[in-house]
Amino acid sequence: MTAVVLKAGIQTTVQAGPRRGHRHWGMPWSGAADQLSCVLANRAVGNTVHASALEISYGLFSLQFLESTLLCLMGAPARATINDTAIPYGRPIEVSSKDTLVLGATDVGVRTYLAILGGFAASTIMGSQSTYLPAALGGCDGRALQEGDRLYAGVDRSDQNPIPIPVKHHVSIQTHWRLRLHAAPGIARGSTNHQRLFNEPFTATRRANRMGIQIEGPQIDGMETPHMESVPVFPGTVQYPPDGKPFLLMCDAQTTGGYPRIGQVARVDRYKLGQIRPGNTVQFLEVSPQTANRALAAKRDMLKELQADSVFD
Amino acid sequence: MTDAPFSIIAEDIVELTVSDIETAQRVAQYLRTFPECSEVVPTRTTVAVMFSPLNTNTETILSLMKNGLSKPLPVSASATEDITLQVKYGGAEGPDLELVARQLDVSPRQLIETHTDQLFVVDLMGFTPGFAYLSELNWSVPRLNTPRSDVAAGSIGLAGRLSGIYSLRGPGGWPIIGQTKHQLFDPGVDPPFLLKPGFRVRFQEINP
Repeated sequence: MTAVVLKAGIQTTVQAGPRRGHRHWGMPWSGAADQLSCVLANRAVGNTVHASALEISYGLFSLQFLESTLLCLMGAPARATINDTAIPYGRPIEVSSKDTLVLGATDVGVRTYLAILGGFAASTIMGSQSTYLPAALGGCDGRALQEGDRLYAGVDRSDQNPIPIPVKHHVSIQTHWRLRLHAAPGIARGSTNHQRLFNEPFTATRRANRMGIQIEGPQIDGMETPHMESVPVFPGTVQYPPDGKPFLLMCDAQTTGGYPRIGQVARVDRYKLGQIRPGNTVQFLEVSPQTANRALAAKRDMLKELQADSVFD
Repeated sequence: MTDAPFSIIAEDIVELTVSDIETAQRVAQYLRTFPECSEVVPTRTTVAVMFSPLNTNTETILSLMKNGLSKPLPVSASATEDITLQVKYGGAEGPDLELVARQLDVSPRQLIETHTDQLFVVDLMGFTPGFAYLSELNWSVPRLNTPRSDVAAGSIGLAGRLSGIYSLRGPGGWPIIGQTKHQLFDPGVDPPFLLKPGFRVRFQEINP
């Protein structure tokens, strides 16, 4: 055994890469809500890109190690200590048997990722070890971690050496988020709806989980279609239910939905959704497919020096 | 056809508008044979493809969609199977039965009888693992204005001309008229899904 959970926090799950290719069965992706932070934590300790890590929401987590390993924290900042000595994020840190990691509360952002050498052992279901709580599958018996859970290291080491992740690559955890958005085909350029969507900020409400975040903001008109057919939705889709409070869909997003879609967050910005906290503001920035593609390629190229660029594949 | 039936949803998502579910399933089946289509999601009016824009491009996917549209129907029809699902209508299991009956100007009893008299067909799976979209009602039912945050597994909902079965407990925007005890998704068995596109479903009322 590698470690035992002393304090499970508000919601801590085992997450890895998305469970891809099954959306036509209604199977959502799951996986780390902030894929970039998770991948970088894995990269720091020398794991494969999609090794299983712990996704710790809102901090307040503690783990005692029972064998030596290497760990790295990334994502939402919180005071982190090993045996009461503060440790930084983004660096591979050696721990020994009986060492205790304590993570305090997060004040900004939502999710902190903890990677250990080899990842966390978990069963693979439909191609991924990620936990999908609604169907109780993947990860640790398909559920959030509890006090006393015993965790074992996995075998997902890469042939890369552990490295500290330069700060310029860390996900910048904010309170005011700017998300590049493709307006839905029904939101015409120059229309009042288009202006409202891109000129006025939205605010994240408390209704938030891994499926999506409700946001409040300007009214978008002409979206009353109570009889519409369900259409495909993805992480990053912005739905507009009749109550006028859009949903920003995330990693556990349903595969089809019957509310009008007002936009789709660009691929390059989707990892940010996992860090939007209730009360944060969201400003959408209009983007064209060409511009979004260039931004994605630039981000990918930046990550090449870490050999972590496949996160956007 | 005057308008191009394709929409660019994002740099990594394109959508094809189709006239019926059979076309959607046929094109989707074709597209799924190409590894560059990382997700292919058919619905009754569209087929969406998600791809990696770093490894392929919109033009390639659009041309695959065009090829898929022009392909003839596959020779073997999709497997059909008939399944009867027992349902408890109304009460705590079907909290919106009376609301929907009022909206349709029928009695709850008439609504139950119509729902149980009919043979439904699974058009597609979607939403959450195992959720089935079944066609087709003679009535059109509006969705709830605000989605419920907690719908029980096995709940039978109505929306538009479709009936749906919630496979998991979770949020949902369809008014709920009843509930079945059948498990629609079980990751521990193979195949994990009780229903498949093309299956025919009959609902049978059971008393508490």
